[in-house]
Amino acid sequence: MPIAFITGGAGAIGRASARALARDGWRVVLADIDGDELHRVAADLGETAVAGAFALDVTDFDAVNGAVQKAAETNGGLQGLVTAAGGLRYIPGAKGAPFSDTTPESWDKLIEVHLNAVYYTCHAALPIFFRCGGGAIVNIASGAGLRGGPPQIRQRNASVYSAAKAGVIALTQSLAQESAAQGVRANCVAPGRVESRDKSWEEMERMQREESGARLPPLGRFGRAREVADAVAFLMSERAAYITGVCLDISGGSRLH
Amino acid sequence: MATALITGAASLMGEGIARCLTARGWDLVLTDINEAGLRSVANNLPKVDRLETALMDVTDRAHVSAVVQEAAARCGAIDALVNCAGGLRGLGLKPKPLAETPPEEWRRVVNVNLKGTLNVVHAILPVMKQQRHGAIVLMAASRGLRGGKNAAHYSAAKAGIIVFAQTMVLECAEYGVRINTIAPGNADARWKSPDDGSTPAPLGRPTSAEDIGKAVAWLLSEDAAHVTGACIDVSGGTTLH
Repeated sequence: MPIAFITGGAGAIGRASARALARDGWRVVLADIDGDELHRVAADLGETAVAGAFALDVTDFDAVNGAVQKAAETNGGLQGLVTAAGGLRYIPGAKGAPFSDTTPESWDKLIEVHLNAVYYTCHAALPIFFRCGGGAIVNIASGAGLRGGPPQIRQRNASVYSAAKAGVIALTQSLAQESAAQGVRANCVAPGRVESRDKSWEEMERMQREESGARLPPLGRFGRAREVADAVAFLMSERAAYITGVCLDISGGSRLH
Repeated sequence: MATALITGAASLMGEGIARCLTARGWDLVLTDINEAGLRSVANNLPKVDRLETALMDVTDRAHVSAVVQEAAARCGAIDALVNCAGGLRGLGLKPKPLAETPPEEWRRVVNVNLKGTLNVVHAILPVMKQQRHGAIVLMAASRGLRGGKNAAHYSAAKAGIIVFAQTMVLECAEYGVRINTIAPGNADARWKSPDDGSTPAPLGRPTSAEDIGKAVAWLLSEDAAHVTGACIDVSGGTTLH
């Protein structure tokens, strides 16, 4: 069975991706900064699906490298990577303020978690992929990284987050071009407004009822984490063997607004 | 007369921009980390009413803020900001695949290109907010519109700049400021040799510093009064390849 390393494995998209990959015949190695939640997620998925779990801060270059190496050694190789670590859970004050009112410290943290850490993780996995004859990468970007600002007012106060996510998309495009010859495919997904650990589906449904129609995605609702995960699983699979360097927009059509 | 502050002004592109702006009557504050280069550019420019130079390392937040405030106080206003500081090979780094890029090189490229831009914009906003007008042009890159081989960090940082500018449209509009980006591709640079082996653009020649300067001048002018959040591809068609 192929092995996939998933960062942010305890988050909504990470755990849903783990479930979708397990369904499709992968075994998953989960990593998350929240070790307690990670072990609950791993227990929930079961031993058949889970090939390892690491309490890991993705902004620690050496620790990321160590965990990815260990995952590959323990399982005799590595074929997949999903970088779902991110979100704003661990970055207080990073969103919701005009750029003028934000601090350089918050920019550092945002860029470190959302952009640099994706490089750290890909950098750790690539040599293993090259040795194993290839691999598949899916980076979780964001609709905010596809286009910033109006008329999607919600991105107005997320300037640096949006910039970092745009960076992830371009990083993935670069990677797709330079690693294709070694059998590596790299793609990303750009979720719109979907449930997360911080915003449960119940809360999203309530917001959905309160939101005016014009601000809802064209499909009229917000998204489930499993809907993002299904796209991740597709891009990771052989069915996507001829797809590299794309960014799949999973936002119920929000990008068209 | 209106004053424009240009960062990275010692680069060939910075010089081209300065030349185009002086030809249109702008006063200039030129900044760069390279003092000798800055002096040389300033000395070669045609005479204008006011031409100032100041050393600036865009990665040094406190310093950026101090330079911008001093320039605003001396000139009375900064009507335009052109952020041209950045680059990859200009930083003395060689393009290489992501898998072979050490973390210090990754961070250096992101710090100068992306965080440097954030520092400069953050420093200029209070000035433009107070004067209630202004125009900002940030130098992105063709590779920010579509990532390129052997430059994942540079592509990521430049893509970040394009989207950052888009997110700033409303915040800037509140006090009469426009913000746009330019994506040069295949552009001339001081580190390039004539037979660099780069593929010619569909328009058949490299992108000159003057090509970029003209686009900057347009974005800063009244002719572009209703243009904000745009990214102008100035690459002779290279980005399409």
